Formats: sequence, structure tokens, C-alpha cells
Amino acid sequence: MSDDRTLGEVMTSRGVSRRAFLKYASYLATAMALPASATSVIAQSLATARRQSVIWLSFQECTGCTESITRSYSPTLEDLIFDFISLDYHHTLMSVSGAAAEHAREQAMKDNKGKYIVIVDGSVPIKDGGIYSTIAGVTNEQMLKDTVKDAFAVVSVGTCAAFGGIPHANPNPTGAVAVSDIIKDKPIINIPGCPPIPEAMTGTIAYLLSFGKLPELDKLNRPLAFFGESIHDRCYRRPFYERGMFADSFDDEGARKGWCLYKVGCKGPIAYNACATLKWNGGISFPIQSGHGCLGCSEPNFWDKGSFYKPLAAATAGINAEVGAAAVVGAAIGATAAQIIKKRRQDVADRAIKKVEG
Amino acid sequence: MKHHVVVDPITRIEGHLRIEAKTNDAGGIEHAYSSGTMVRGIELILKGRDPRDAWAFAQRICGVCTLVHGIASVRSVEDALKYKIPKNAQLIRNLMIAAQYVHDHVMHFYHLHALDWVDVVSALKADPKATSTLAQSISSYAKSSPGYFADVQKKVKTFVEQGQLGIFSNGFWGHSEYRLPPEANLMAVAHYLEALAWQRDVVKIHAIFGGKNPHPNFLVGGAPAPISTSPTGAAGGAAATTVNIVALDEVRSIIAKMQAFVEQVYIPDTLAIASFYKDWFKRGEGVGNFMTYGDFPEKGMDDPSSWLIPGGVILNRDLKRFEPVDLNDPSQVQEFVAHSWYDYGDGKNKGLHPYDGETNLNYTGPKPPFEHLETEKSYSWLKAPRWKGHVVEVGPLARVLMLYAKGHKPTQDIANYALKKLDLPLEAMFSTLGRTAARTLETKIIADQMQTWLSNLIANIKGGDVQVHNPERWNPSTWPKECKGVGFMEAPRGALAHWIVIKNGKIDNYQAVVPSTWNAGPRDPAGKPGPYEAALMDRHTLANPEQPLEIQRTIHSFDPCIACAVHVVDPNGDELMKIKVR
Amino acid sequence: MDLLDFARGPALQVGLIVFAFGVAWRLAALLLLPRMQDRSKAREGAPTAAIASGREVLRRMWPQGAFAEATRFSVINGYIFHLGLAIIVFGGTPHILFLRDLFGISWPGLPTNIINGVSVITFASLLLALARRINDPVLRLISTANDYISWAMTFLPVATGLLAISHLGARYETLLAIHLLSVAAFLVWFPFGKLMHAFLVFVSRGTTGVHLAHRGAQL
Repeated sequence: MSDDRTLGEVMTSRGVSRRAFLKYASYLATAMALPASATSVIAQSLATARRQSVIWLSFQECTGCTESITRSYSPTLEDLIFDFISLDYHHTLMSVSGAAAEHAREQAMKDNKGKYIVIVDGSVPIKDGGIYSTIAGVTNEQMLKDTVKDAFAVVSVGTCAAFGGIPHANPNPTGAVAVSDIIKDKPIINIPGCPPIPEAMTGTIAYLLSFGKLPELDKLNRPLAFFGESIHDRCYRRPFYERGMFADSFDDEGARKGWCLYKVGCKGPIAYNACATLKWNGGISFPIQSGHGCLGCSEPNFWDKGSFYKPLAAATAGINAEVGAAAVVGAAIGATAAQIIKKRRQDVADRAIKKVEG
Repeated sequence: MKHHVVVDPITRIEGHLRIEAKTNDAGGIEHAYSSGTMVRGIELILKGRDPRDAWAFAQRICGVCTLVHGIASVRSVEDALKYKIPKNAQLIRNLMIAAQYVHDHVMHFYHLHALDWVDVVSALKADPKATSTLAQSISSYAKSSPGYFADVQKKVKTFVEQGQLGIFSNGFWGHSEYRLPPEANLMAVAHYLEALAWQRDVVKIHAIFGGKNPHPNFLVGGAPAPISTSPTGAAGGAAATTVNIVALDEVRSIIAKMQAFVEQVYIPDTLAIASFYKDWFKRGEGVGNFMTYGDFPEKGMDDPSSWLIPGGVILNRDLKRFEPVDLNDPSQVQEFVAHSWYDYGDGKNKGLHPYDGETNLNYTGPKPPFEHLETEKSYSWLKAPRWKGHVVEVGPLARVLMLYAKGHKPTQDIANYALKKLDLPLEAMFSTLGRTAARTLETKIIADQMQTWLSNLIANIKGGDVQVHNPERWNPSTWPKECKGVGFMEAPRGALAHWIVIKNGKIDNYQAVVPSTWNAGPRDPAGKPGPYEAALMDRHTLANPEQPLEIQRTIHSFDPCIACAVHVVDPNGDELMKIKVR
Repeated sequence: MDLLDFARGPALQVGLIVFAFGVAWRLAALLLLPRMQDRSKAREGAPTAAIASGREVLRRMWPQGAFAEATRFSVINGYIFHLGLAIIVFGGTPHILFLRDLFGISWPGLPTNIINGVSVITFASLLLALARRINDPVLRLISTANDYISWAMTFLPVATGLLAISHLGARYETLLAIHLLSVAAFLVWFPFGKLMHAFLVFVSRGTTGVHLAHRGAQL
């Protein structure tokens, strides 16, 4: 802390009640399964007089990730941007357009060299010199490299920034890649999802601020606190899976009774995310609870795993023309072989008859 | 001095938009150019996939107007397959679309548009007590005490004094074109924060019926969420799915909350702010043609008589004549690429109907990094859609004019009330603030309709009808070998349609022509500018070309959604993308 | 493309192609073979071919007379894992979905716990079959690579399937991928080894029955 004011004084001066602040800190500690003592560490760190500078870059995106973060209940986006971080560049939220906006980004980089956090949503197109997405006349790839250069860490939010997402889906017309395909020398946290759960984003950001280090990550660089377990393992419909009680089609008896959606294509067993525990929009529901199977949107290449309504157990291609052709060719070879044998036997018989007659 | 003003990025919008404007010596805009600078190629990605999956892909065209492309997509597949959806699903979709309108419009006003009119820094000079008096004089909204405004002011003050302005960095604060008194500014800033908290509850309607928001789930043939039935079979009691009696009650209270906010905050704020900027009711509408496709069916998309919003075209601001729109007529909706980075097989000057759509990408712009676009040639990833060759504006203004002109009573009442309050004639609607006001007015019209839809839904359930999905055409083996269809809707930003061609159970061609393409598209072969461009060329003078606040105002009044507007790309011009369907 | 994408996609695609090719080839080659005409006169009272073949198939369902004791274990154990495999393949919901996706027909599945139990029994039964093959000197002597490969190709899907449902050793998607890869391997081997008996067993038994009846032999 740069001054010796108490936490309460700092908070009061920001118009935040001490109670609200501690409540948030303990929520975060709980959500990320941290020990109780972490609450005060979080509270102290977040209360530093200078707010952490954050630069948010938007590339090939749909703004769904930004929309999602505004839905965070705890901490709220207002709390975050007014009390904890200084969101110095963000296309959708910042007041100013054009050159002045770009200056704000450059200024933040200069003032917070080596300390600012870069959040990215959207993939980066690299085909044909990157002309498929430019901002202020600069390609996304260039802007990403320039901005990340002096950053402390990079947070890729959404499946597009984390894994390439929908622009990367077959046939990937613009050569879209993930942030981690371009940036190799900075710590990267991936918070995938289409969009990510808002609390997974705000919670991870708050963790970074509080502890100044990365949370524990899985092999795809996702925070284990939010992506450690599959939807299936935490699903309230899991018992029906075990008992073999499934919805056979949408809105049938099983669907109305809330049975397992495995048969109608749920990807819950291979999707690692916190939808079944944190749930969405203040905990009111999540996709399976509202009758639709999980799309598996927090996983790389989830767009290219066959139809969303094809069960996980089915082969993605199935019986197609190639399989049919193989059967026809096989039958033809078999028939030919039989024919050859038949002919050979006939020859043997003919020769024998000739011999007898001769 | 003449200026060549470049505004890139345009912020507080969805997606990546660049505006270039050339001014005369007095700062007046003579030429304006609108350019979409990002493509992903979602339609190309859709080719060859299961049509039932299309909604999820199409929906990712945009996460702000999340839902609209999902709806247009499932409707296009249903139109192609002649697939009827149950009554309940129709009502659920209406409720979800309506929630999107109310959410989107309010957030646009406070979070994307307000800062064009509201000076955040000026709010520091406000007297909280006077602010309270002002707020109470225009609305009965509960949060209006001097203490409340003092708290908000303190929050902003710390912000500014710390020297870390965050999202308010480098704003044009103190610009001579900001005309609100400090108290009005403080009130607007307070409501900026209120709206941020309020919107979180609104989208719960999407989470209830669609599992989450942004990007709720949809289903071809109906709605995915079954209405929860208890193990004994009685409707409504159990919590097997989210859609149960408790959640439907929650929906009712959310709707009430939406209505209250619109009536007590959004409408009074719009009128209060507008009253200080009346000159903006005289500029910023340069086309005069308006188009709607129609939406909110009570009975189904195939029965236009049951739609809340009618479809049609208004030409030359003539509110007495309506041209019908036929989305299947190849001579009506056409897309042009004369000034876009695409090629057509029969030459760059031809117009093509979406069923015949070609999308051969051909970037001819400057190599990045660049200073200026070649505005005489091609300068945008957006195509230029035209209706029978006419430039038309789509969106809230088009809808309100259509409803007003066709005699929709609630629209006429609320519009007349607002115009009277501002002491303006009906012609004032043809303007930048007219567009902004139309958005506010239609929000009320739609929010008020929601209770009726919910009541109808609950009445159906009580009557024993709990069906939300029609299984008839779900299985691809029931589909014709080849078929095509168009799914349309009124998205918050305007008329939206998706055209689909299905062959052997797979998508053979997919084309979306979206509101922001209609509005933000570039010039056509005849040199006619698109609505953004025409609007900017309608009596705009930049007080300070270094701080082009005026451009932001008019562009934001359209609520741009550029990821929507640009969606097709063919990097190699290869065979794959030369889609021609007859 | 991760391992599961590979398994659900190219691996199963290759498996199905080889399976279709191989099965069609072997069935066509065998069934279209010209049958040697038996020019001898049939025994008096010899049943028709249909009855003879049907009777033989039935009779072979259980070992007869002198062989009963010697073959008791392999018959009982054989029944256990054959029935077990059938229950797993046609009763497990994921398997029904796999088949539904291929052939468009489906039927209700059994509860997961029953499938789990049957899988364990089948797993043990297959292990016993291998143990006997190794320990029995005669059986060991007449065993060929075909026998061991066919055993492995049957055993692996059962073992990996058990791992997948019990989430043992790795993440579910990895275990599922390994299971599907083992199925793909099974499909590739199937037409070329003795697993083909699934298609041919009743054909050969029926044919034998007709021959024997013609000669009036009763075994």
C-alpha cells in the first residue's frame, strides 16, 4: 500500500462500504476455494491506492464476452472498474473514439510498464498479412504484440481468444488463431466459454490483483478453480444417467421430468466448466437445467465435434458413402474370388472328363 | 481549413467500425465514409453443417444482440422445412426477443450512447441536493435522495482525483458541445450505474428459457426448455427444469421491474437530455426511406395479421404509402459490392439476391498500417444492401414510424406525448435524436406487451398445453432432398433475415443480411451513400475536428453492430465460396 | 484435433470402412462359392435341409455325450462372455446410441449399474478364457496368433470401457477416446480373424447339419 491509510479509510474515500468490500473478498475466497485467511489478503491487495491498470483488446469477437462480464453478480463490473481496476482501454465501454482512444492505450502502457494486465477477447487472423481485422489501420496481430510487450500477464477470455473459437472453426477462412499461438513469452491465463461464466472472469481478475500471481491452471491454462471438473460430474441430472433414465427427444416425457440429456447430444461429460455449480445469471439456471444439452463451449474446437445433437458415443462421420463403397468393393472382390474358384473347379472337372474319355 | 477526419476505432459499439469524413473550411462534413474493418467468415463456416446446428453458429455473429441471429436462423430452417412450432414456443420466443429489446435499448442508451451527451467530469460540479430536486421533478423513481447523488458523486470524484480515469480516459470532457447542466450530468451518471445493475436481472428471462445469457440456447421446431411437470404428471409444480411455476412468477416480476425502469428512468432521462439538444432533432437523417420486415407473431410467422410490428417500406418520408416487402423476390433485396472488398462473377456493379449470393473476397485496400482508406474505390468489408435499388434505413426509427403511420394506438399515444413534451413536430423524428427517442419509445411499447404474452403462456399451461417442441420434422430423414427458406425478424437494430439452402440434410448456402449492413454499408454502384454516411452528410459541423463528438453522436444513434454487419469472407476467391444457387 | 476427435472421427471411419470391406468380401467369397453337389442318394428318412440345419444349430448349443465333461468349462465360460458381450453391446445406452447413429434404429437401454456389473463379469470371464488357453497344454499347442489377437481385440474394448465408466487413470475424454480406438481396432481386425465367426457360425453349423443328415449320421 502506497500510503498508510487504513483499509476502511481507502474504501470510504472511494465510496465503498467496508462491509460490502469484505463481503466481496470472502466471496472470492470461497469461489476459488482459498483458505479463509485469504480474505484479508485479498481485501488488503485490492485496496491499494492505485488501481491496477487493465487494457482490454477486442479482435475477431462478437462482444459476447464483454456482455457476459457485465452480468457478473459478485464482484460486479461496476465494483471492478470503479474500485479495483483501471480499465484504460476497452472498445465497448470507453467513452472516447478514434485517435484519443489509441492514445489512452499508449499512455496506460507507458505509465504502467511491466505491471499492466492485458485482457483479450476474440481470435487473431493471421492469413494474408492480417487484413481481415484492423483497428486504427493496424492489424490485430501487430496491436496484440505491441500491447503485450510490457504487460505483466495476459488473460484470454472466451473460447476465441483462448483456443481460436468460431473464426477458427473449419475451414477457418481468415486464418484465425488463439492468443497463445502468437504470444510465447508472457504468462497466459485462458478463461474459455462462449461466453465464459462472468464470475470466472471477474474472479480470476480479482485473484490476479490480490496475489500478483497466476492461479493454479490446468494443462490448457484454465484456472482449476473454475475448470477443474466436468459439467457431467457436477450435473444435478447425473443420477438419471446412472439409472439409465434419459430424454429420448426434446420435450418428451423424460425431458419434462428432467432426465439426462446424453441421448440428445449433451457434451457435459467432456466439458470442463463451472456451469453446473456456479450456474448463470445469478444462479438462476444453466443450459442443461433449461433443457438443452451442453455444447461443450469451454473446450478447444467444440465447433467441430460433429452436430450438437449427435450423442458423444456416436462416430462423427457414421455410415457414409465411403463405408458403402468399401462394402461394394469388398463384395465385388469376394464374388470375383468365388468366380475364379468356380472356374478352376470346372477346369479340373473338364480335365478329368477328358482324361477318362481320352 | 478542410479536414480529413478519421475515427477508428469507433468505440461504444459492437465490433470494429471506422469512419472517415472530409469537411469544408467551416468544419461541415461534406463526405463521409463508413467502413467495417473486421471479418470472420461465419457463413462459410456454416456450409456443410447440420441445419439444426446453424443457430448456435449464427448466434455468435453477435453477442450484444445475442439471440437475434439464433432466432432468425431457427426460423430460416423452419421456413425451409415447413416446420410449425407450438404456441407456447412462439410465446416464449416473443418473451425472449422482447427481453432482448428492453435490455439492449437501455444498455445502448446509458452505456453506449449517453456519454455523447453527458459530461462525466462536469457531474463533479453538481449540487447533490439540486440534482435530487431535478430528478424528483421528472420522475417518481425511488433512488433520488440528495444522499444517493452525493455518494455517486463521491465515487466519480475519487476516480477523477486519482488521475486514473479508466474507461473515461481522454474523453472530450469540457467540449463546448456538452450542454447539460452539472446536475443533469450527475443524474445521468448515477443512472449509468443503476442501469448496469438493473440489466443483470433483465437477462434472467433468457437464462430461464435458454439456460444462460449471453448466447441462450434455441431449438429448431420450438423451444428447448420443457415446462416442468411433476412426477405425477401435473403441470407446473416440479423443479425438474427451470421453467416451472416459481420461475414463471420470477419472469412476471422481472417484467414489472423492466416496465418500471423504462417508465421511471429511461423515458424521463431521454426526454430530459433531449430537451437540451433540440438542434439534434434537425440533422442526422439523410435517406428518408425506412424498412421493416415485421415481428412478434401472436400465432406464427406465417400469419402477418397477428404480428405486433408490421412489415413494409416507407419511401421519401411519406407516411401515407407502404410498399410490401417480399424476401423471396429476387428483384427486391439485393446486395452490391461496388465499394466493398468483394468481387462478383458478373462484375462488381451487379446486385445479387441472397439466394444467389456470391462472396468472393478481394481486399484491395491499403496495406496495414495505413492512414487513409481509398474511399473512391472499395473501402469496407460490408456489402451495400438495397431494396429495389433504394437505400433504406432499418431499426427503431423505421419501426416507430411504421407503427405510427399504420395507426398503432399505443405508439401514437407515447410518441405524441413525447413530442408534445419537447414541443416538436412529427418531422423532428427524422433526425439523430429522433432515432434515439424512437428507441426509447419502442422499448415501452414492447415492455408493456410482455405481460400479455406471459399471461397467455400461463393460461395455456393451466389449460393443460405444455408442449414447447414439435418433434415432427426433427429427424433429417423426414426432410425433402432439397429446400430453401428465409427466416426474418425485427432485431433491436432493425430488419434481419437469414436465407438458407438445405441439400441432403446439410447446409448448402447460408446468407445473412443484417440491420447494421443496411445502415452501415458503403456506397452502391450509383454512388448513393449508405444511411450512416448520408446521416453524417446531413448538416453536421465539427466544432473541433480534433474531437469529433458530432460524428460519435449520429453514428451511435444507429447503435452500430459491426460484427453482425460483416460476416462473409472468401480469402482465396476459391471455388468453395462461389456459391450460386438457382 | 484432440485424441477424442480423432477416435470419434478418422479412427472409427477407418474402422467402419475396413469392417464393411472385409465382411462384404468374406461373406461374398464364401456364400457365392459353388457348392459341391453330393451325388449320392440321401439316407431314407433324411430330413429336409432346413430342418437338418436348424436341428444341428440347436444341437450344437450344448455339448453332447462324451465331450460334455471335457468341454464343460469352455462352454459355460464361453456362454458367460458371449452373453455378457451381447448385453453390453445391445443394452448399454451409449452403445445403443452408437448403433442408432449407424443404422437408425434404437431400443431402450439398461441401467448403467447393470451394464457395469455385466462388464465386470465379462471382463473376468475373458481373463479366465485366456488363462485356460495358456494353461491347458493341448489348447496352448493348437493356439495360433489369430486366437490371441482375436482375444485381445475383444478384451480391450471391455477393459477400456470399464475404465471409462469408472473414470480410472485419466480424464473421461481420454478414456473414452481410448475405448473408441479399441473399438476401431476391433472393427479392423474383425473380418480377417476368427471373430468373423459371429457371421459364419450358424452358416457352418447348418451346412454341417445338412451334410450329416444326408448321410444319416447322428452325432
